[in-house]
Amino acid sequence: MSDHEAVGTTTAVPDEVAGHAREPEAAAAGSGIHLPPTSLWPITLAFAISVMASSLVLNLWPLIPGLVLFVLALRGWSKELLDGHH
Amino acid sequence: MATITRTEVYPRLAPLRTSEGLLDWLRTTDHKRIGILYLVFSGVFFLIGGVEALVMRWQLAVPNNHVVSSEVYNQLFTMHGVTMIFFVVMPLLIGFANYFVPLQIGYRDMAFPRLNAMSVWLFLFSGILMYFALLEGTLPDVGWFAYAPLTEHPFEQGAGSTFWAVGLIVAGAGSIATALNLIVTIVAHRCPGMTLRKMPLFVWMVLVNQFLIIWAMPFLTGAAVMLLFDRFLNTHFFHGTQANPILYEHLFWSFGHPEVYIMILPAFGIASEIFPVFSRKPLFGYTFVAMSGVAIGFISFIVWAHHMFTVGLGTIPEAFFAATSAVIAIPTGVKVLNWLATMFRGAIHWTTAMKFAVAFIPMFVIGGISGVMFAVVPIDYMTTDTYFVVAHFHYVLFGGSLFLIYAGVYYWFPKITGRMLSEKLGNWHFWLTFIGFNLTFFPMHFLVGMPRRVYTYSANSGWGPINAIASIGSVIIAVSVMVLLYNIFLSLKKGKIAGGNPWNAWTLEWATTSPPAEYNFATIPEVRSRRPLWDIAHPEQPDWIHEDNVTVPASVPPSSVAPPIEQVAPRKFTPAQMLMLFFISSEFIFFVTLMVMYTVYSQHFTSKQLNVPLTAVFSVALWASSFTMIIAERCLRKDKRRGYYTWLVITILLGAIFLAGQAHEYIGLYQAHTTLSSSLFGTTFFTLTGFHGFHVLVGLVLLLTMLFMSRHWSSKRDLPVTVVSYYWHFVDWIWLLIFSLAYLRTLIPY
Repeated sequence: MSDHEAVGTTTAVPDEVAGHAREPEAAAAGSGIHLPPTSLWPITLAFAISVMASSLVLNLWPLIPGLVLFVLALRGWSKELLDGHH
Repeated sequence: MATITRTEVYPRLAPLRTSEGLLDWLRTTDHKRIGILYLVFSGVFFLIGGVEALVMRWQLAVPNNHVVSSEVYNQLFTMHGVTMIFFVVMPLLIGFANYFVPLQIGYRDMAFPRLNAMSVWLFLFSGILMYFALLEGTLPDVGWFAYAPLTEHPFEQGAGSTFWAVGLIVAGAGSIATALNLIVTIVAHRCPGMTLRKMPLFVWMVLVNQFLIIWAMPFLTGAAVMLLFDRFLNTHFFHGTQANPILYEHLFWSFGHPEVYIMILPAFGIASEIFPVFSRKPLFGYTFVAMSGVAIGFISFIVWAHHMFTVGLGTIPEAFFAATSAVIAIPTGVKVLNWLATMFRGAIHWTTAMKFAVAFIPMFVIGGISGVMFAVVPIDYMTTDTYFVVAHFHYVLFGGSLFLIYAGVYYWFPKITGRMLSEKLGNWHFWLTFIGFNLTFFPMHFLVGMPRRVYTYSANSGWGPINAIASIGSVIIAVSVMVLLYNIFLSLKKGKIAGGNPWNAWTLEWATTSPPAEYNFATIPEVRSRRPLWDIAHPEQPDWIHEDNVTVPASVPPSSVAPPIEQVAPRKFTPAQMLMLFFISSEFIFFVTLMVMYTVYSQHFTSKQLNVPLTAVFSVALWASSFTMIIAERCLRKDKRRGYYTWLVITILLGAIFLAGQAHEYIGLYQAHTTLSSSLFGTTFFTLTGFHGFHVLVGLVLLLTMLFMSRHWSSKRDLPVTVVSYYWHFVDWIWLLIFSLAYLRTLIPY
C-alpha cells in the first residue's frame, strides 16, 4: 500500500485535528488539564550536586554550601510534591 | 478522551502560562522546553568540540607543524572525544526524545517533569564542570576512555583525570535520571490503543536505548569511582604490584560498546520515521525493525572485548568476542534492508531531511563494514590505534548518528518552531556536509600506518597529502555548520509558516499545532494503528485493516467494523514504583561492578581476618528489617498507625544495628592495619562493603523521613512509603550476595 500524495498538499491533516483555533477558546483551567507547575528546585538540586562534585576537583570549601543547597532543594521539592503539585 | 477523527475538534485552550522570560526557562518543567534546552546546550558544545577538531586538523595539515604543542594536542583530542560523545551526540538524541516521545505517544509531558528538568541542568553543569579544568591549567588529556594506569597519580600529576571522572559521574547521573524518566513515560503513559506493536519506531528505539543507558552507565560510574579512589585514597584498583589495569579496560568497554549503540539507536528511530514519510509508504517490516533494535541492545552487552583484542585475551575469548561482534552486524543489516525496501517503489520526496537520511545509509554501511573488519582479530591487530579506526568510528558516529540528527533537525524543526527551514540553504548544508565529511574521513582509511593521537609527523612519512586533504575537508564541514546556523537564524525570523503537518506525516506529533501548545493535545488521542493520521485522512483504507487482519465486507465502510480501541494493559505498578524498580536494576549493575572487582582480586588474598559469625549476626538484623518493613507497610495499608510506627521504628533500629556492626568491624580492621590503601583486600573489601553501607545509610535517612512525615501517610496515600520500601529491600538483599562473596567464601577450604 503506498500513498503517492505530495508532501504538504491539501490532504495534510485537517487544521481541526491539528488543533488550530476554529472554535471559541476554552480556558485551560476549565479543561481538566493538569500540568506540573514550574519549579526552581530541579535546577537548584542539579546545581547543588555539581557544586558538591566540584569540591572533589577544586577544593573542599564548596562542599558545605553545596550540601546546604542540596538539603534545601530536596526539602523544597518534597514540599511541592506533598502540596499536591504532581 | 476522544478518538482522532476528521470530524472531531481539538479546541484551542487559553495558554496556561504566558511568561517567556529567562526565569521561565530556568524553572521550566515542560518537556518541550527541556528538549529545546538539550538541543541548544548540545549545539553550543558541538561548536566547542568542532573548534577543537579544527585546531587538530590545522595542526596535522602539514608535516612537522607546530600550531599547538603535544600537550595541548593531547587535551584537544581528549576533549573533542568527550565533548562529542557525552555532550553532543547523546544529549542531542535525548533532546529529540524529550521533545517528541510524549507527543508521539499522545501524552502531555514526561512521567516526572521535575526530574526531567533536573536532568537537563545536570547535563549542562557536568559539561561546564569538565571544562572548569581550564581553571587548574589543563584540560583532561588522557583520551576519551582515560585508560589506567596512565590516569594514576604516578603518571599524571595534573587534575585532568579527576575532572574527567567527576564530570562523567555527574553527567551519568543526569543520563540515568532521564533514561528512567523516558522508560516510565513510555511504559506507563501511552495513549489508548497504542500497544507496543503500534508504537512509533522512534519511541521503540528510544525505549531500547534507555535500558542501555541504565544498565551500561553504572560500569562507567564504577570505573570512574575506582579511578578517583586510586587517585585520592591511594587504593590499588588499577595501580600497584598486584593490580590489573586491564580490568579498567573491561569495565570501560562494558559501558563503551553499548554506548556506541546508545548514540546510534535513537538515530535509527529518526531514520525509521523519515524514510516512510518521504517515500509515502508505511515502513517495510515494522516488527523486524523494532525487534532488531531490541536484539542490538542485548548483543551490545557481549561484544565489548573487541576493543581489547591487542591486549592478548587468549584464543577462546577472542573467538567469542569476534563471533558476537560479527553477529551484531546482522540485526543492523536487517534495519538497512528494511529502510531500502521502504524506499523501493516509493514516491521519494527529496527534502533535505530525506537527503541526509538517504546519505546516511552508504555512510553507515561503510562504517559498519569497517566495524565488522575489526571483528577479524588479525585485522584488528594491524589496524588498532591507527587512522583506519578514526575513519571507521567517524563513519559510524558522523556519517551515521550526526547525519540522522541533521535529518531530524530538518524534519522536526517545523514542529518545534512553527516555521520551515529553508530547503535551498538545506541543500547547501547537505552537500557541503556530505563532501566535507567524505573528504575528511574517507582518505583516513588509507592512513593505516599512521598512529592516531600523534600531534605531528615527519615529512618523509608520506602522510602529508592525505592529511592535507582531510584538513581541507574539515574546513568544508565547518562552513556547512555555518550554513546550518544561518539557516536556523534566518528561518526563525522569516521562515515559511509550517502549519500543523507540513510533511503530511502520520504520527501523533503532527496531530497538534506547530509549535504544540503547552498541554500538547486538547484531548488525549486514541489510535488504532501505527499511522493514526493516515487513518484519519483515509477512512476508506485505514491501516488497522492490515495491521489487525480485519476483514471488511465490500458493502460496508471500514469504520462500521472498526475493532474497539485496544486498551493498553492495566499496570500493576504506579509510575513512581516503576521508577524505583528500574533505578534498582541500575544500582544492581553498579554493585555487580564492585563485586566483579572483588571476585577477580580475591585470588590474591584470603580475607581470613574477617569475623564471619559476628557479621552474620549483624546481617540477620539487616535481613530481618526487610520483614519488619513489610509488616509496617501492611499496618499502614490497614490504617493501623500505631503498628506502622512501631514496625517502622524497629526497621530503622535493625538497620542502625547493622551499620553499627559494620563500623565496629571497620574499626577492628583499621586497628589491625588493614586499610583502604594497605592491600588489594583492603581496597576491594572496603569499597564494596563501604558502598553498601552508604546505601544502607541513605535507606535509613529515607526511612527516618518516612517516619517524621508519618502524618501525611495513610492507606490511601502510601505510595512514598512503598517506594522507599523497595529501596530498603534492595539494600537488604543485595547484602546477601555481598555477604556470600566476601564472608561465606572464606569458609570454603581450598
